[in-house]
Amino acid sequence: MERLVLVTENRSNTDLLSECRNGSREAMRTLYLENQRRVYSIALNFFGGDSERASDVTQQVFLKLLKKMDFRGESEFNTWLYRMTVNQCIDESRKSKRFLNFEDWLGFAEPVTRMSLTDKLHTREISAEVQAVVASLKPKYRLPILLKYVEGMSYQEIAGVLHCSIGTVSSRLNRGHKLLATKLGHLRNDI
Amino acid sequence: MRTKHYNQQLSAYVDQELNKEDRQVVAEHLMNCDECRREYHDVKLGAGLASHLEPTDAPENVWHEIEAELNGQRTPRLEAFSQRPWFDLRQIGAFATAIVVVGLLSFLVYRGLFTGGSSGTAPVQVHVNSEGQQQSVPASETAQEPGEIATTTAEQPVPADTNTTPAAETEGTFFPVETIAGRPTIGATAGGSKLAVGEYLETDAASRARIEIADIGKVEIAPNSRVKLVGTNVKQHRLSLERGGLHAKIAAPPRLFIVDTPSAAAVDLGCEYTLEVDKTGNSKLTVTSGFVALERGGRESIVPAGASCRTMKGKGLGTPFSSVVSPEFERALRSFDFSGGGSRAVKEMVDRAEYYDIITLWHLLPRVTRNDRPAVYEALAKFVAPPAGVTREGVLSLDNGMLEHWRTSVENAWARF
Repeated sequence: MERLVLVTENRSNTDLLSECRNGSREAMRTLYLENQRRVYSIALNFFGGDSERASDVTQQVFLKLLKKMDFRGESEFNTWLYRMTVNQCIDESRKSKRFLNFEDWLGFAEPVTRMSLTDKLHTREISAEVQAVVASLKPKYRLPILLKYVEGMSYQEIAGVLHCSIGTVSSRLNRGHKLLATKLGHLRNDI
Repeated sequence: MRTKHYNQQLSAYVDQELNKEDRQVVAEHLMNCDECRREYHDVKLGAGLASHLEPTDAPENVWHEIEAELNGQRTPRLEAFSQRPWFDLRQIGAFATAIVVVGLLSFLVYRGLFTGGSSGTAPVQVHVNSEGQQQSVPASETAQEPGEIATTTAEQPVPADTNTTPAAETEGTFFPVETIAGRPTIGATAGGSKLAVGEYLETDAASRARIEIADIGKVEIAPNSRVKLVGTNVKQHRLSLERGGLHAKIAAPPRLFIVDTPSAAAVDLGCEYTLEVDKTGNSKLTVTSGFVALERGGRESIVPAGASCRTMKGKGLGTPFSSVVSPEFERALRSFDFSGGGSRAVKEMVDRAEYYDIITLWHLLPRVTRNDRPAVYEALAKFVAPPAGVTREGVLSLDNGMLEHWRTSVENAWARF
């Protein structure tokens, strides 16, 4: 009996990187498509839903990967990619501070909005509120939360990306969770 | 001796990052430590909130811009980036305002209008930390336990619809009553010391009393309560709690002491417990040692020490739950028991189930629909493996022997707390 076999091309990131070094634009695009979501998601949530800055970060990370070929295989590709993303987010964050944001400085910036419970007709609205509050946390609490809950990484993997111990990851998540509970306690019944 | 707390491990506990042994240690600690349990509920809420963050695909144009850059072309984004002004109009306005404010403050300080600072500097300090963020210190949130008892409306005693056989009222017998506070009344008499069969003992807001139940134990009656001695003989001693609360401490063979409430009968199985009845006839039982069976209409909930159970007048018997249940889990359980929450409530409980919810999960097995039963089975099996001889198929088809066999394992696991 003839059997139809569908072969799906499933190249690893390592294979793709090797092809990228040889200048394959198709491999670059595939590598981007395979990994863009994780980079953009971290950045988007890091900046509280600011898609412009998230796009900037995504572009910079992939240019370092594809143009400068910064990845040298000294760590796992995924760990390197997350590390690059985290560093780029922090750089972007510092860069914007160099622009002397007087609105923040003087307290003119728009406060985190607290939508009324009756307006929360959709979980997406809760997500937006959570995203805004997460973005207001210090990076040391924000990043473990993003790596854990956006990317679903284990504590060990997070420790690898952030260059710290599992205990540190645990205690920062502990603190981060409590800060979220304090700032978003009014959503207790909505989740 | 200092108690070791586990508040630094709560996040790892919530995120299932602890090994089985550590998880067990933390779970046991949470059963006994109010402080860590409060933190646990905060951490769990925080984790639940964080799980609303969503991954998102980058916009299409990002790749086009990367590709253009790879081709040596300057991208619109980078153009825009290089042309980004140092200040936009709002920022210029804000900066100008800052200059004016600082100038004004300097002038006022110079004129000596502020005298509070010993160093002579202006008392206004603007501090921007390294991250430019404002952090608030978390205030601990205490979970509000539902179940307040209102005791203002008198109701007629309504014996619970139960399969236990009420003892015949026995004339001429009584229980000794001791006044603890205030002036409890027995019948029409204030400060009486004997509660005869058929008589009511009532306490007001300032009164408390203790009833001696033959030679098997004592029952303390809370303020604002109304209790009747239904009957007493060698086979059964029976009270009826119409409203208010009582705390019973009984050392006797099972089923010798029973308390009726408007919505169920609490059958002592050798235990200590608190029973509360609110103004609508709903009740909450909390067991502190041994077991109590709540019975109504041929249905039974066995409530072990460390667990509670609600009943609702006209809606029947609830499902037992841990005394440290999360508010979310308990809310879903109440919805399932009394508000027709159905599959949605079951899913909520299954998703949120913790080790200490095993008693609830076991009781839910025969109470949920056939479609929901596999999820409840999996949730319970995650915490207490079915013992040898108990199969998934058998449990799902409600094989009584298998359910009872598994129940023993569940109760043993529960007892280790």
